[in-house]
Amino acid sequence: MKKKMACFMAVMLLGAASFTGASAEADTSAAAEITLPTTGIGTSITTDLEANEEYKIACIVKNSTNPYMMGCINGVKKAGEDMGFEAITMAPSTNDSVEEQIKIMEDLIESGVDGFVLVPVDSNGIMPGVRKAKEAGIPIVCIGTPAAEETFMRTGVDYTETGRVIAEKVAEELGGKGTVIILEGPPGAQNAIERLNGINEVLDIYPDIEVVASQTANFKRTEGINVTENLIQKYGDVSAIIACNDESALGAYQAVKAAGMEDVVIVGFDGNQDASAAIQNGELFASYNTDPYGSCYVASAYLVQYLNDGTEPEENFIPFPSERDDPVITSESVDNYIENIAWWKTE
Amino acid sequence: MKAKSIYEKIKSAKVFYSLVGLILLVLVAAIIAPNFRTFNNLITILRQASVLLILSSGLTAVLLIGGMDLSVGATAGFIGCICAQCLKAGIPVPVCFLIGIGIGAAVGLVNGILAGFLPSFIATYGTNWVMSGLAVIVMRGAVIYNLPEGFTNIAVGYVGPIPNLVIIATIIVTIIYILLQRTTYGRQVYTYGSNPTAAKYSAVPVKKIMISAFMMCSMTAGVAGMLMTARLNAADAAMGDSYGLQTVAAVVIGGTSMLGGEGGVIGTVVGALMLTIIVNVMNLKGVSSFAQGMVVGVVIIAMVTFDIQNKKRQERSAS
Repeated sequence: MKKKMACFMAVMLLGAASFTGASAEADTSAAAEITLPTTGIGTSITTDLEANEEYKIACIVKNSTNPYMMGCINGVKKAGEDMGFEAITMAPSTNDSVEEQIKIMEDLIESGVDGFVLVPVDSNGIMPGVRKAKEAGIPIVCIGTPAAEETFMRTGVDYTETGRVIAEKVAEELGGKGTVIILEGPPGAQNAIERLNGINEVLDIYPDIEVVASQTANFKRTEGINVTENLIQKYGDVSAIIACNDESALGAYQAVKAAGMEDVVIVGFDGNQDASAAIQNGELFASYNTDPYGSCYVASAYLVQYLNDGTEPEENFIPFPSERDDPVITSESVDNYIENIAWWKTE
Repeated sequence: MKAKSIYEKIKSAKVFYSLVGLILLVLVAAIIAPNFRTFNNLITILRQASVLLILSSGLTAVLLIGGMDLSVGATAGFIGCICAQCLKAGIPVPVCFLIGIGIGAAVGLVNGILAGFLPSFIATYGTNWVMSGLAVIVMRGAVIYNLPEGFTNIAVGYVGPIPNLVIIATIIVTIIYILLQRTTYGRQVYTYGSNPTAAKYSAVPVKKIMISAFMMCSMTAGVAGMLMTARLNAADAAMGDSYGLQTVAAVVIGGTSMLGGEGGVIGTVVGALMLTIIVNVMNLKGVSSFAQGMVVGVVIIAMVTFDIQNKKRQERSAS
């Protein structure tokens, strides 16, 4: 408990430090001790690393409709160009089908690949594929969702951290006082639960911030509108709406706008294209750049390092982008974000 | 005596028990969630139900002829995406709508022709895949957003206190109601649905009836998809997915038989409203996200059981 608290305090301090730009302090934290094989974030990410041979690295995502997944694919492709390996990118034809992900893995193992960058649909569901890859000695980097058993490494954001950082930003904006609606992700989804826990951890510290409702919008814009409309019926004017992703946040904004409410602080997560424009227009207050592009680039870099000379990552889970990477997008940083960083830009 | 006969007449109407179910649901909702009873909430429910109402009233025609259309959600999504692309290309709003409805008619034509020699369940399962595949191709993984205000206002605007969406839904539902209940065409649909062989021998234009029902369904799906896009102020390839089975559920909960020839649009309206109200009440009551899926399932099963049991009793007492 004490340890958890200490950890938490450290994160808070770190948060405060990075927001005020006191980077010297941040350097002392545990997270900063890890030296990534890359520099930068989003599309500005680069590396000096080069592949010794033309490895085949396969990126398997959850579907081909979500821009996040396209970001992953583009990140691995760019990494392939920069480091000189062959990038193979695949998605199940049925959206979010873990069975198909396993089949793809099996086929690729059969045809011979050197590494996987994997966005598993489900931690347990993906295990048959993961075990086969392990038997064949092929390293796997999981993005976002981890596999049930430890793989070569895991990167992507630490969902709890994203929740904490954004909630802290909201609490700051509200001056520690107000009513909040939370639009949760799909019930039972691990990443959504972690993010929600992060949000609640922070809001619990503020006695004058009351979470009046916490309901699922399933990460969808339609449900974001509907649920927010329904909740406004009951709670009227709220100070803030924390939606667990950008899509539901944008839905919440549509509902709030239609109800003629102003000054509601609405935040989301992902930093997607639509949300970035909404932050520019002052419709959303903030979002967290979850950077699939950079995450998959980092993942590829660790794989190349390992394939080159057997270098293992310092930690099994290296969150990226983390607080050290300055991931929060607000009206102040949004222009630079769109110009230089945004992972959804097609080149 | 006369009052009694009217009562008997209402009670023997097929839609009676679905309506009772809806009224019970509304009563329970009003008791457990005080905010449910406000005028604003009523409007909210109607607005949220609009897209589902349009989709499911179109599908009713297909179920009435004993067919099935599993592609409505994907068709709606695909046409929504096309519409967004057209708008972004600067094509005027009314033209976009016509294009959307035209594509809907084409999809329906294909479904109807396929259903002539394949089980419609499988045929439309196939078109469902084709449609969602085409949507992905059209969008290339991106989301289109920030559509012209002239377009989004169709779904966001109001006439007095009534949202445009509700008005559009009412008009479409009424048109389909009149077509199915008040015209020769409608009678032919019912005749064909309850006994295809007999219909053939009594000079019902079987092919035409079948194809037109599927066309009606896909055209409403097109309208629904475009309204969905307008309401979201965005289009993405997967947006119609969650509507597919929900639409079928709305029609069946409303008492339309999956074997054809029995049921109607009024029942479907009841079904669509029920599905919308359940979610609304759970939000107002703050039901845990974990329990919501289960609650929806239990309520659906309870409603359909109630409807079917009472219909059986109704038939027994009639014979």
